[in-house]
Amino acid sequence: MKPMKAVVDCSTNEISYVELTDVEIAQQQKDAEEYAVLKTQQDAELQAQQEAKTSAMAKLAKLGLTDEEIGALLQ
Amino acid sequence: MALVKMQEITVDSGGLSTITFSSISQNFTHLRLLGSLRSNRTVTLGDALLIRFNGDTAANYNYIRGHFGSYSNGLNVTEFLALGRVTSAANTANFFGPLDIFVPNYSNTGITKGIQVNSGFGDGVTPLHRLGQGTYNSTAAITTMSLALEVGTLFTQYSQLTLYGIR
Repeated sequence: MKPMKAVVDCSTNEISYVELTDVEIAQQQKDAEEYAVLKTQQDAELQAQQEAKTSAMAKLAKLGLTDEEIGALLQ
Repeated sequence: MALVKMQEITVDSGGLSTITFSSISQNFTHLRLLGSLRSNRTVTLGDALLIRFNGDTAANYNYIRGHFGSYSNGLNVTEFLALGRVTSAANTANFFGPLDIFVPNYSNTGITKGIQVNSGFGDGVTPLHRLGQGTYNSTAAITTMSLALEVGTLFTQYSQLTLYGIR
C-alpha cells in the first residue's frame, strides 16, 4: 500500500484521503536526498570551523595566553 | 484583528505522509497555520517540516533559520521551505512539536510571499527550537499549502493542524 495524503478542501470543508502518486513519491525521495546532501556539506563545514578554532586555541595557549584571555578573544 | 478558523485536521492511527490545504479562501488578509506534529522518524533531533505552496516544486523558495538547541543553523534548499521542526518517534513519547506558520498578505498578487515559522519541541531530553524566515518567490495568490517531512514517512496519530484566516 502506498503512503496516504490528506487533502483538506477549504471551500467544501471536505477531507479526502488518497494514496500518493508515483510522481509524488519520487518527489519525496528527491527532496530527502537533496536535503541530506546539503546537510552533509553543512556539517562538514561546521566541523572544519570547529577544528580550526580548536587549533587556534591550542596555538594561543602555547604563546602563553590564559584560558580567560583566549575566551575573551573568541567572544 | 479577527482570527477565523478555515479548516482543521487530526491525523488518525494510520498516519499521513502529506497534508495539503487546498482551495484556500482569498477573503482574508493573512494566513496562520497552528498545530502540533510528530514524525515517525527515529532520531532524537526530530524531523524537518517541509512546506510548499501552490504545488510548486521548482526552485522558488529561499529561507534562513536558526536554532536554540543542538542543531546547526543555516541551510537553504530552494525547492521547499525546511523551516519547521517536529518531534520524532525517538523523542519522549507523546510529545508533539508545537507549530506556528504565518503567511502575511497571501492573496496579494503584487508581492513576493514571506513566511515566518516558529516551531520545535521541549521534551526535556533533546529540546530544540527552530525559528525561520522564508520566501515563496512568486506573486501568485496562495491557494494551496502542503506539509511533508524530511525523512519520516508519516505524521503520526494525533498530529493536528488548524488553518486560520486573519482579517
